[in-house]
Amino acid sequence: MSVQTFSSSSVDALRSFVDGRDEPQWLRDVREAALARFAEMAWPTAQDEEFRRTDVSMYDFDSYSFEIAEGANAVVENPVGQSGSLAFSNTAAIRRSLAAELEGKGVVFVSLEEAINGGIDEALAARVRSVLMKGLENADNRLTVWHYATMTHGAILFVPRFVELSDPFVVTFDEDGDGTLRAPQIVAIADEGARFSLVHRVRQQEEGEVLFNEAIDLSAGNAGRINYFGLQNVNIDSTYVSNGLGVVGRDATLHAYTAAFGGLLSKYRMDLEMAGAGGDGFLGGLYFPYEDQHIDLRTVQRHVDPKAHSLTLYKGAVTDESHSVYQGLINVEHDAVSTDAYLTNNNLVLGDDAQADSIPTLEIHTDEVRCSHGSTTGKLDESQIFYLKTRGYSPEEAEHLLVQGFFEEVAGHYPEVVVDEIHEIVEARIGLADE
Amino acid sequence: MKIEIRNLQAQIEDTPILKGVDLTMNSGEVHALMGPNGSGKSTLSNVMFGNETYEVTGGEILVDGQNILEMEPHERAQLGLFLAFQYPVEIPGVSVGRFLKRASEIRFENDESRTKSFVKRLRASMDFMEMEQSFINRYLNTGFSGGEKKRMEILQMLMLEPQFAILDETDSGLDIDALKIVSKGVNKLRNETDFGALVITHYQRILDHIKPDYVHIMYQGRIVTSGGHELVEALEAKGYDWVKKQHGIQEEEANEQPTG
Repeated sequence: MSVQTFSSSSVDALRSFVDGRDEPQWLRDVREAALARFAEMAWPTAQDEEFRRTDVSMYDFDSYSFEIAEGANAVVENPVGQSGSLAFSNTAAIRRSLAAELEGKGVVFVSLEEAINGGIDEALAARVRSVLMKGLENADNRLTVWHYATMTHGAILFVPRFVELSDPFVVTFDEDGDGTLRAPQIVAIADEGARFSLVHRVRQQEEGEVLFNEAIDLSAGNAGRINYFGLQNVNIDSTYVSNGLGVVGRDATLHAYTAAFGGLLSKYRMDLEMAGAGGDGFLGGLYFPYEDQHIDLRTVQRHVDPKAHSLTLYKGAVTDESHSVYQGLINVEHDAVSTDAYLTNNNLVLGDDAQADSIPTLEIHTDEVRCSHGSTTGKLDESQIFYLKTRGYSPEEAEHLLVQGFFEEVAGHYPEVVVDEIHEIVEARIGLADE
Repeated sequence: MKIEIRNLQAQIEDTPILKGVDLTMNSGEVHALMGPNGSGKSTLSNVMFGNETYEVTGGEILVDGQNILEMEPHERAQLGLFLAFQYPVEIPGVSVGRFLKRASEIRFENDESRTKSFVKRLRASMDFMEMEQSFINRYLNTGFSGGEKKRMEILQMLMLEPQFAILDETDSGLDIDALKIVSKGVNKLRNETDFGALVITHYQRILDHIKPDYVHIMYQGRIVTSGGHELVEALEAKGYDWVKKQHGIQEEEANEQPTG
């Protein structure tokens, strides 16, 4: 395996990076298009509405180097209870597997590097290109555009027509680098009537400051279904930028869950585009910053076509001196009559110096819709604590149970392979809040 | 278990509610506490469990000679006391099974056989209370009807086998079928274990199904009279005004008209 390093992210440096890559045209097109926009844009500042509460001006993004590893990954035995697995160490794909019964069914589950080296056929390459281009088109700030120019590694998953899989695919990124940029990419495509789940897990050593700048592009074709489950638990020195877009076709279902724990500063964005009648979209989120973590999450439910239904439920707890910002938007376009959309954000404030901001917004450009939002921010409910105490629970144990319960409406949907990890992280953070 | 309440006084936000309650109860006895709205019945149950909304301003509560007023609510529960709430709270995200399993572990610490047989016991108790098994996986009280919440309280009581329980208007809002099931649960503990209860109620109805050994009538923060079941019948026949006249109680608020 070899690792190539690219020393900066200035426009000129990125130009020579893109020119120097020996990559197929479908990917080169995406990088070129991103670079063209990148050259025209400025880094976000606190004057931009989306970054008003999350100032990134202290970062010298131009100076970031990045690397791309090359070398074939091992094909290993598939873990029980998974449709497939793909594991990365830094930017290198190191292990991959696919359930035996999926061989010959047309399921494609490869690393970006394999895709570059002919791991996907022309027809799929064209679809992946269009999904990436759609993600790029949706990008409205330079950080996200930067991602599409620099894509360092990633996973591509395609499930063909009417193939329905109950066990999840699992992509794991393990990180032990320092002082570098990572730009991982996830592409998941459900063809017509295809149904699957994807777990996307990111972990990091305790030491090391990394700037993560990921993109997640999900496309649920007509009557297809994607359940996406993100779990990010990097260290609290790193910076985490995440942008996701889910396009939901006619009668399709897309449920995208985000569990965000790591990062001294993290900036999340997840958009749903309801692009077909009868579509069903759901965005679930959970976050629990502590110490001096700052997390900013934005969701967008954009209804383009009529008669679609979307729901957002984001739940966060803040403790110590941490700060969370949640901004949610329901945007109903002119043609999207009979839209049904709802957005809920609940925050638990567990520390006197912690802060949770919640800013839900509706933008509705048509009649005959049902749209609303609800937001709550507060402490644990004393009457619930009293109830549990009368059943013998100590005050500490009552608090643990209530915080776990608070998150359970989101966490409870995660597949078995990661749900315990979420419970453990939450448990540990409540424990820290007690001290 | 012996509970002695002596000259108990409590207030809520500077308004005195309990003005010297004296009451002695034992496991093996069922006491009914009756009285009109605002007489202090629910305050008594909350104060017995240490709800911080209420401030105790005098008196004591002894459990087997030990004053519990300085104890935390969970320590009182661990003594073997139980409170069935008038309005049980909803706890989203916490399943009935998970909640009760831990409560049972706390109550029966170091009792491995009970821990092992928990699910079996829970299922049997649910059958007895005529509750669907699917309740095990539902979030506690969340979206339950009023009757389901009350049954859930009694189910918990069956599982935790307290030595003494306070049932705070468990009958309110129940139809006759639900009332019979709830009463059946209470009588099961009464027949099978050394169990005592304080049944707080407005009406005589529940006392037809749970026969009290002693009846107390509370008025304006004091127990004004005590007796046997005949007191329930007299009250039913003559109303609370009869109690007032018997005991020479004056209305405290000038604008409140005596009711007929």
